[in-house]
Amino acid sequence: MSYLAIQNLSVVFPRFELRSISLSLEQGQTLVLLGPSGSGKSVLLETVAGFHPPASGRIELCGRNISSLPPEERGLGFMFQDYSLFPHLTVEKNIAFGLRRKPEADRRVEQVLELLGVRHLTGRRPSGLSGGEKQRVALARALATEPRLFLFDEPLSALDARMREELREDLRRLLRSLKATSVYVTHDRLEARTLADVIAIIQDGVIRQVGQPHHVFTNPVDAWVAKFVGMQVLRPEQVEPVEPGRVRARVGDAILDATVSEHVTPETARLVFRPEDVHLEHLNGQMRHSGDGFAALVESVVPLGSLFRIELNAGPHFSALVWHADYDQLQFKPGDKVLARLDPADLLLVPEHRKL
Amino acid sequence: MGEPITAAAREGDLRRMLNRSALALLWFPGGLLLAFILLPLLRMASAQTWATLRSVAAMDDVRSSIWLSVRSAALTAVIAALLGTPLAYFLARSSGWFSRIIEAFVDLPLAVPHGVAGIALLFVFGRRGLIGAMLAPYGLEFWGTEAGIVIAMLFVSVPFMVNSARLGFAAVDPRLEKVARTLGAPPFEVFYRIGLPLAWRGIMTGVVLTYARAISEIGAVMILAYYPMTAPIKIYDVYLQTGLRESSAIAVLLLIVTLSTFLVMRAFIHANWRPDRP
Repeated sequence: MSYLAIQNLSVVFPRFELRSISLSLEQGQTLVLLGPSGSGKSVLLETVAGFHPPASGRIELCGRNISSLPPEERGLGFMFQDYSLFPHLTVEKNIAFGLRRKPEADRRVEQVLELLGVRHLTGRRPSGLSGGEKQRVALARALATEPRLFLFDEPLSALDARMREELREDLRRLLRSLKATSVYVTHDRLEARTLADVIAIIQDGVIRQVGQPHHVFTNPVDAWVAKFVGMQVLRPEQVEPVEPGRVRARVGDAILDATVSEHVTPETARLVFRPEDVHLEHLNGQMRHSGDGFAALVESVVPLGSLFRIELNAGPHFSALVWHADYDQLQFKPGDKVLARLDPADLLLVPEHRKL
Repeated sequence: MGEPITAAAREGDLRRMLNRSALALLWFPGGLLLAFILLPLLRMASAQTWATLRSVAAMDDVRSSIWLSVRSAALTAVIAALLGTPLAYFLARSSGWFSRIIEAFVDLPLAVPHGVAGIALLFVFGRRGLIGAMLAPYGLEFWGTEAGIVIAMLFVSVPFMVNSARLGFAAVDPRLEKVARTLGAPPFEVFYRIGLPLAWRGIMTGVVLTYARAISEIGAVMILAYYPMTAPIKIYDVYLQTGLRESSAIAVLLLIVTLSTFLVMRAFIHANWRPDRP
């Protein structure tokens, strides 16, 4: 039996619904709900917290059905964007908010202050805290009530890039060290990949794919998920089977071998691959037709920190990501002719939109 | 080459100056409005002599009417706060058509002429009115009593209370209340530990506005309770009997009392704790 089990959950609003959501999570793990805005991920989180009554289905936590309990009886720690500390209370009173009996409360406040290293902030008001301090105080406040599950609703989305990276790391370490079980909502795939033990991709109120981060990011069920997790999508002009699990596809002038895991009808078939799996080399002399890759023209080069995105035109347009070190060696420039190769294991044939 | 550049520069200067003076023009209607508000009050106050003010202030009936006004308006504000704050909370936290209809009802007294309000109140609180007749055997009468004054003041001033408090509650981030729920606080506890303290300033603004509106009311009060005379009725009464000189002296006294309580309350609200202050 799973620690958290969501079974066939549906929630209906006038203009939106969550349809038959089923998810499970083991103790100490982090489940990331990843989806675009308006996909219903926050609604799902708030339903777990008890703010929306399900139309059908159930939510079990530690083997107990909590679907009909009000939020105050579910034993959860909820954290919103910017962490929603109570602005009229000091750090100490924020943390003690959920604690009832006085002598025990004082001891518990002391404990979590110590655990999260925020003892020096006790008398301060939230408006005087840095982002990192707010995060720790909010975690301390939730932790004080000994919740069985932490819920995070895009806590880092309002921060600038540097803070976001810093707090994401801090949060990842804290969740690990506290052995906390948590559900984390975000639209940021980097955040999802950093924090998740399990990722669920959600779109239009439906779970499209669930799995371990690496699996979801490299084996999307369809082109929509592939695009959402940052893969490149190409439309093949012709597909023919070669052997079980392997097809040969034609895109523009290129003939490519690709992996296929289930039957895909040719009209809806899409080739997907991660841009970092593209191997680039200079093509000296003639543009040549090749059986194992694209002859392509470099259209532009975009530096992205330690990576470079090389935008290519091979008939169809696509991008490749190249490490700084490789870039330094190969020095691609707009107008260069290159050969873009893909290992057949890295190139997948998937349906455009998988029926659920 | 030098000539056109200078001309263009001069033209740019001119345009910038015009733009700036166009903005300054916006001050003109505002200044006119301020003068319109202040001029009559200042002119009336400056027309008084210290001696007349002192002699009027020494009159028992004047003192008791001013004190009655202050007392009734204060009581009205307290009742409005007790009844209006919970309603304001519900209105701030719901968004459906039903709450919009209730909001319109709350605003109704602003649109009802105050004489009409007084007559409507008579139907309910008069000696033979719905509630008036019911409570009379228990000694609670509204026609010509202090209770009647408060009822009339309440009717005309309560929209200010509900609307200010509603804006105060609406400004409280609902996520704070959600977090409080997950920390184990049931809805009522969330209301008084989160909503109430964070909307405090909106509620107090409502109290002050209600008080100010109540103390200045004459139309509805006059119909439900001409006697005992509140200060505005007293001023009107004296004006009819003796004219401008004496009535304006009482008016200035009332103005001083009203303004000073108003300013003290405002200062209290603004000196009070602010959520954005560390």
